[in-house]
Amino acid sequence: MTRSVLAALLLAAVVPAQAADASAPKLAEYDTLVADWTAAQKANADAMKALMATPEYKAAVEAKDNKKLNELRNTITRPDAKAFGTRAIELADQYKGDASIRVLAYAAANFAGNKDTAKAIAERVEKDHLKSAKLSDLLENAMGLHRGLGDEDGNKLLEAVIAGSPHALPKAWAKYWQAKVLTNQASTALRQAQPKRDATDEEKEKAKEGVAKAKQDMALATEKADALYAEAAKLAEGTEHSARIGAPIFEKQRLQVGMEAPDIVAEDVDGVAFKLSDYRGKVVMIDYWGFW
Amino acid sequence: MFPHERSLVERLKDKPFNLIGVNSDKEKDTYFAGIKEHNISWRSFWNGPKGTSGPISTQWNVSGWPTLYVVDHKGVIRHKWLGNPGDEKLDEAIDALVAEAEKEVRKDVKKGD
Repeated sequence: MTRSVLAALLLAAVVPAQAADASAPKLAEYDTLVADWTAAQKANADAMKALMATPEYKAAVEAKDNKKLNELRNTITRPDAKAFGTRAIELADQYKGDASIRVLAYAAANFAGNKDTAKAIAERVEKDHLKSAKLSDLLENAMGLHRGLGDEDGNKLLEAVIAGSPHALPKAWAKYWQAKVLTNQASTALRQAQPKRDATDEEKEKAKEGVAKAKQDMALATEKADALYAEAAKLAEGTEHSARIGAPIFEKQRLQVGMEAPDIVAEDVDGVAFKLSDYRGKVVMIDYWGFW
Repeated sequence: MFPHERSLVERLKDKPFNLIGVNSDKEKDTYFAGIKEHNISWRSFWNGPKGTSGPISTQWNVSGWPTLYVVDHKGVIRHKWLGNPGDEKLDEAIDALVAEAEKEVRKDVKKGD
């Protein structure tokens, strides 16, 4: 289990670092911002790697001494995302139109965990960019922004996009994230309703009603989310994002236990093409993994 | 999870079983260094330079790592787990499916006689 937890931690840091769009016009200050943040992230990752190689860290892992591990990890200074966020917002205010949105999109993907940064992004989107087709670039990574804004303001922004955008793709993303937020909320509530592992029989009995209610809510949320995902997929049809926006529906319709697995046709890490179906006749465990 | 997967692959090496990864490292170098360090022998699709946002995991709507699917010898999804289900559960599930696959093979051999 350690691996999945660790992977989740690392992914939080690694995934949103989006490369700049090579086809877009050059924006020197923006490029510098991206380069600085990338360097800061890399320095942090290198420091973490070096730490993990020390005997002290390895001993703490061996001893499962979480307190010590946290202590050691805390010796490494994280890049100051808040300062970078402030810098990005200032830059977005100097630029206009698509250039401004590009900086905001980068900020949304990388710095929106900070409340003030998230708020500043949302304000600018609602005021200046609701009609822009480029808004989809920002909304592609809207989960961090939503977290930074909190559920209420986050949903307000998504609603504003759905009501105000004349383009299909921003609307598709907004519905996609609304769906994701609904199911996330419901599954968090369900987890919280469950009695603790060491609960007494009495506590377990007490929790039953809450769990039943949370399960009901979960079913409702799933139903609503599925409808939103379907609308989003329809809006995204034929766009470069159709696969990702359509993925929740694909999973529901093609990737459930009891269904024939869709084939995977791709290259292995050595560059040799092969197919999942080459292994028909054998039991196959498919592991989505990485060393990170 | 690697040590257990390694022993699983070793234990079932003469059985109708394959572990196929979908490696989602952005850099192939990370992969090559890792398989050497952890002595990993099984084959992996590469999810491409976008790493965890690559095309295979995107289509399969993978939202966490590891995500595991177990497909039986007929190509039917029999288990899926977000996160490591634990060694025991994994072994039990796979051993049962391998036994099913072997039963099928024996039936075919008999038919062939």
